[in-house]
Amino acid sequence: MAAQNLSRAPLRMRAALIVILAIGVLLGVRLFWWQIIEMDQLVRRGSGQIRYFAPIYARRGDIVTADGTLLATDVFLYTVTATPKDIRNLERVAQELAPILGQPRDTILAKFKSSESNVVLAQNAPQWVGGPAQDLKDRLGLGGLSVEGGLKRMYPANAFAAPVVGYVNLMGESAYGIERQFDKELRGMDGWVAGASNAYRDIIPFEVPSAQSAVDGAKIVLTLRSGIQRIAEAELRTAVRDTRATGGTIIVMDVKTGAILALASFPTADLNAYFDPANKDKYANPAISAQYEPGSVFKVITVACALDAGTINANSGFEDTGAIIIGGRTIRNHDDIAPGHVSLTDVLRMSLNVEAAKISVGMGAERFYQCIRRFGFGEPTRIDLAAEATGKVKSVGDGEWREVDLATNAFGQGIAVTPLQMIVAVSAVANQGKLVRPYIVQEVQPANGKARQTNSEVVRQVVRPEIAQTLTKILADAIIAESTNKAIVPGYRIAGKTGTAQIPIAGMLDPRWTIASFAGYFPADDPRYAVLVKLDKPQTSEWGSQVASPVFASVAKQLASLVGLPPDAVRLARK
Amino acid sequence: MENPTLRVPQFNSGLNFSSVRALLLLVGLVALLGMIYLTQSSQATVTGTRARELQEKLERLRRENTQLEYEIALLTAPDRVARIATLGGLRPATITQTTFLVVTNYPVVPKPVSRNGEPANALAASNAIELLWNELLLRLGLLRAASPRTVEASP
Repeated sequence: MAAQNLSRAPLRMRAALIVILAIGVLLGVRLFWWQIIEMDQLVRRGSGQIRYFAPIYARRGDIVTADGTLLATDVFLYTVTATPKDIRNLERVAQELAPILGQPRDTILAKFKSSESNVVLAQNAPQWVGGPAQDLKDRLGLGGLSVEGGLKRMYPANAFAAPVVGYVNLMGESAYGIERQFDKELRGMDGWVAGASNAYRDIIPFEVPSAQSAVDGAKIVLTLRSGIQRIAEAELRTAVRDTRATGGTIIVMDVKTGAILALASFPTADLNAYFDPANKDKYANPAISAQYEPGSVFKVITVACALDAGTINANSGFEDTGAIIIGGRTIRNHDDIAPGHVSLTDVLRMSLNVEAAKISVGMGAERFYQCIRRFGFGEPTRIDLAAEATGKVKSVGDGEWREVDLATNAFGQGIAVTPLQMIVAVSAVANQGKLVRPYIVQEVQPANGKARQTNSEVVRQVVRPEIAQTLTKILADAIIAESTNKAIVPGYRIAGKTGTAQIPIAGMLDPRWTIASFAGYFPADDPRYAVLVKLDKPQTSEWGSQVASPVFASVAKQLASLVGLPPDAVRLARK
Repeated sequence: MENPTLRVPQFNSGLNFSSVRALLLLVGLVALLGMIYLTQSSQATVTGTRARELQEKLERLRRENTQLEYEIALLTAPDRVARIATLGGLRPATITQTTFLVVTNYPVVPKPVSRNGEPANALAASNAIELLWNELLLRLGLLRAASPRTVEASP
């Protein structure tokens, strides 16, 4: 009946019905689309508008010295800005902001009335500025006032121990030093907070907000002692200035444990100014990454190896004619001296290249290179710092080695080491022949875990204890033998050796510049502290004995005073 | 004639006293549950607000604490202290300016001695407690062990 009616209905009605049906189908399809197909996304968007989710940023861990000097920390800082056209009563707001920002009302008002559409009222402002500013914004409902806060990495000691610490840029990327090496531990883990919110993203206290607390990064405690570090940095600055050197390094190490007590490099720069292009190359740590030819300091290692191998002994005598030909090349002493008959102490005191060469040749290449590798040359020391270089030790048959290298390596030429490798090797002699792994991180203290301490680690016995003691005595005697020796520290018996190395350039040695150094330790009867001083291209004198030795003596004097190490006479009288 | 019987119409509403009571009880229960829900929900809101306020306060205090620690670090930076000390005419004592006194048989642990007529054993007892306490602090790392033998004096 209905079908008959419809078929009899006017055409317009039927058309209208079809249109309505079509619209209905379209609406149905659309409804299906939004309700079924796009449901998840819409639910997400919907809840996104009524749910609040904010990250809680973890604080990056602090870096402190062993005695608690804060070197790096995260500080929450605010930037307060205003859009004056969105603030109704400028005078009142300026009046209220003045005591909070610590600025005169008129200054703030002048900023409001400047032609800028957006004005910065305070930058890097602390919590006691940012907090009340936020309160004022909330209280007065100031849409035109913006209070943005965020964590910023700060270095309160500025350039102090800068190459050790490294830095983190605004993007949160770490560079150099501890910041780089311990990035994972320092970062921590961000948390979050979630709850109901209105369309303006303000939390509606409709429920107890769910939250996951942030886990702050671990605190890193270094082995550096701020007093010793300051001495090293001050002495290095003075030495570089006085000798007009291009740079330098001072390392102070505990010979028994391997703990680095001070590590100073120059030039360096304020860690808070890492973005300054002038500071671009000043954060690398040459103490671990710069390779150099150590020069005569290396004779300590050569003699230690020969004594241990038994090819010489403490009473050996040498006939020095001033020159020797090895591998077709003539080796000479500095200043072409030819002292004649000399003792082993004289060899070290006068720093005779010819005798050092004879000693290494007497050992033979295999034994010599085996021994110096035992001292850790040619491999990283495994210190807990980023970007450590390995140095370079040639070996027989590697294609680069020539016969003359055996001779030149004996007095520290033709071999590349890092300052750290050098002091670690010298410390092995001081430490009864035990090579220890150097370390600069004393403890890692996670925010919610057990602290992890670094333990002293003996890598290997490189020479016998009696050989180390004998050599220490010889080195100490060699220093005392010259009353004018600038490394002498009154009241203390010092063992050590100077070095003056030429700098290799494009297949030859630079005739103008040297690297002057001194590596020593004290007190000689029971060594505790090793100090390495290295000055690059000094201009007042090319000799380590003239420019590096006095710096060593000055550091050692202050170090002894700082740590309360009594002079030998007092200390030995007590025993 | 049949005695006309007064027929009282009987209404069966289906409700008797006990079912009304049950209904009222149900309504009451629902109302109670509703009230409990509202109270809980209100309590949750209040607690939520308070938790948020406390969290914010805690966060602010933590930030202020960090800021203060940072400012302390700025003021005690080794270079700054050294600069101020030098300006004030101070200079580091050299080892030659330090007088080391040799004290033979300097006691590692103070021995109980009789003082002001006190019996030595009483002193010994108090010292023993003090020693035990110090030993405990030492083990906990709260007390630095003093060098027992070196005595310094600066002229």
